[in-house]
Amino acid sequence: MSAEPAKPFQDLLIVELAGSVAGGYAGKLFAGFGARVLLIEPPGGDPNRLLGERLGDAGTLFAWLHAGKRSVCLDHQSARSHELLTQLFNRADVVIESSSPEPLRPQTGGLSNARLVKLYVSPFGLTGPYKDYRSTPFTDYAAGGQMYVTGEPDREPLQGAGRQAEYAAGAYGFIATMAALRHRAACGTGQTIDVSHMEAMASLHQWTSVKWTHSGTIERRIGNRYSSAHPITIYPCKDGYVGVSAASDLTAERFLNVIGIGHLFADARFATGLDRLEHYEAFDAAILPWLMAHTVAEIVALGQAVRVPVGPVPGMLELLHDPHLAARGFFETVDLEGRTLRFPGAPFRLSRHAWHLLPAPCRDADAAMTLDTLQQPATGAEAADG
Amino acid sequence: MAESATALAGVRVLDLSRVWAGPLASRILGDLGADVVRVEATWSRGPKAVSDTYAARTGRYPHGKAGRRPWNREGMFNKFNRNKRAITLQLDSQAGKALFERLVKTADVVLENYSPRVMPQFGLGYERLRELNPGIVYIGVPGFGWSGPSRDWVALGTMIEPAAGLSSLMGYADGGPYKSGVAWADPVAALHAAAAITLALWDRAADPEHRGQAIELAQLEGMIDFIGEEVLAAQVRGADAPRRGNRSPEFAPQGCYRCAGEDRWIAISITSDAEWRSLRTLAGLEASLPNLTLAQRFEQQEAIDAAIGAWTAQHEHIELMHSLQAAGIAAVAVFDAQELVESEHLAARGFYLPITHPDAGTFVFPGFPAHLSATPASCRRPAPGLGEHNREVLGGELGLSDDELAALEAAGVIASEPPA
Repeated sequence: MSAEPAKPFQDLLIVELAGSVAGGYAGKLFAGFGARVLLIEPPGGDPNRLLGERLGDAGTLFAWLHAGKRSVCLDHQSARSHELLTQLFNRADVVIESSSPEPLRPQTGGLSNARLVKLYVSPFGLTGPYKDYRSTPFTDYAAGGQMYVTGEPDREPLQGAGRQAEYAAGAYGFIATMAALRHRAACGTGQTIDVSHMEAMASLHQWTSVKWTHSGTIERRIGNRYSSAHPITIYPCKDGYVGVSAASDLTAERFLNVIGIGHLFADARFATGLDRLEHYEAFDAAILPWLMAHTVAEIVALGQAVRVPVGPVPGMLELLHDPHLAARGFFETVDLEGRTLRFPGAPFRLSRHAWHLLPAPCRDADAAMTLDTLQQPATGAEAADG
Repeated sequence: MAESATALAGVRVLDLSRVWAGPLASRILGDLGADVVRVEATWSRGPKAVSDTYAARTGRYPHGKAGRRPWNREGMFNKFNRNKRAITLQLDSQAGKALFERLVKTADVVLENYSPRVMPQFGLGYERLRELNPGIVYIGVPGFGWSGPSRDWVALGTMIEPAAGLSSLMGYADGGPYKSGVAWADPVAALHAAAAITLALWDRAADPEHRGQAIELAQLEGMIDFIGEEVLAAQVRGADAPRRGNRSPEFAPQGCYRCAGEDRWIAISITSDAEWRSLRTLAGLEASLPNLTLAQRFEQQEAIDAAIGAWTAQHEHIELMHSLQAAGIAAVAVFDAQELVESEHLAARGFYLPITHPDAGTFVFPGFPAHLSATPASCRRPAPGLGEHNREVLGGELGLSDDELAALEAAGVIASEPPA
């Protein structure tokens, strides 16, 4: 450890009570940049260990979220556990509590550590008429308004990819915690932060609420397109799908020129992005024969050569073989339970510090350590022992 | 959002970004108290004249009208730029660049979301900024990053979402990959950018030499982290997951069911056997649907969905949410824009807040979703007009005289309205 440069969070102790993906992701951002993140699990282990594909005593969700953290299983009812937790909370800089699909009932609300920053993340927050309501990763999309605008107009609205509301709420939680730590550095006192999945999602629209407040327009589902211009969509092609975002008239015209049907641009139905959206069926019919005669690689290369935002639409396995991500060394290889897995890397890269990843801890891996040891950063050797 | 102590007081951000990802990132910092100064090209807010026809079609101008200064009235811009000041500056001019360099010396953060070629073309790459101010935190938010074979690809959030693999995880079970109804990669980049900036400021505060650093946020990579568990699961499984529609690998039944009224829906996840029993009782389905185990419910999802849908269609979606939640079931009405803005829950939490803008009028906007007890986010000013703070920043803070400002305006380096 001494050979490595100091990490931004090396002096921080984060105590994370096992909870939701949101809390886990906030903790992961701390762990990736060097904080000691201690995951407190119930005696039988975090129920989230069971989710995803199984890998030893934890599934893929746990392996992803809790990489680089330490684990201690504690029974909140037992006197010894209570004593240890109290000591930890007194020494911690940040405590993270989260819950999904259940509402959150914070255990740390009454703590006397005035310097502690307490991050609480839950489906609907700690106050308000829905505070006791439950929400899953699926229903979170409904609560925040994303579901209503995603899907075909004449079919049921659709969910997004995985657990986006929880990741977003977790990221907001991290930002707010950083702000609170900065405030603490200035004035010495911590504070409480209440983040809800619903508000996180409701805050992450482009113009859904603006159209309603400004012109009384309800944003609706318009299919696999975008409401500001066309073509912003996913098209089929000869060997798969391509994502096309010719959002401006200039890029749309260049795209049509590539296809060799630039004359279409003179058609009044296709003059502007909103015109093309209104007449998308005719527009798509005109370009689909060309798309179906070309491969993803050809279309992306031809489009990007004339600066049209065109890209691939990979599945997970294809993504793992993306040459751009490979050249950037984005995926990191981790040996886990006799398998070699490739983990996505840092969400952003700092010039002064590398993102550092260790395997997620086995259940109760750090139980035997003393309180003082628990406050030391995890090292590769110790994690491998676990 | 109340007036009180702010967490990021004393942090100055120069914001060169446009559209959504960058402006939302800097607004998050502004909501938390940072002094965000937008540095905009004179033409960046579109043309001087906008037709009422166009304004009405976008739905984003006040009451569908372009108005006298349409460049200051567009609702999306005004949503993403509250709590900021704005100056105009043509960075492609020598005078503009020189003034920007003087501002860099006063700043803590420079944020941009250009393609990787642009800042070096201005002569304002990170190395130059660091020469001017070793403490500067510089963040670029390109689609594909600063290196790699696709680094020069042009990108938009709507294309990053499919390129990062999210679209392959979305869509109807009988269809192809699908995109979100919002350009989802943009706000995700905004969150990661704000996270990275607060982290780098923390790092700088702990550094005896007070060094800043460069942050490279490839939107593609940050987006992939939001589905990290799916990347791992596919490797263990040795295959991509089948397209799920609205279903879940953990819970059944789960779906979006039609309710009474036009285009009204409710999202329901049944996460336990007890909830399944409650649902059967509430919906009067005990006779038609047996008490199934989770495995059986997975097998019989189509029949179950049909039965639930026939029942929900007779009920108003928000009332149904309340009665299902009262029985402990994770059911949420599929809220539209009006329902969100008028939500009793969000009102009780003070989420939407009215903001009065001199050129656009008073509208409510989404607030800040993290409620900090000691340093709550605050709305201290509406979005700035184009060049509104030219005099305050370039005159008051950099000391330019009225004559110098007039000369810059005559030369087109600064402006308070778009060029003709």
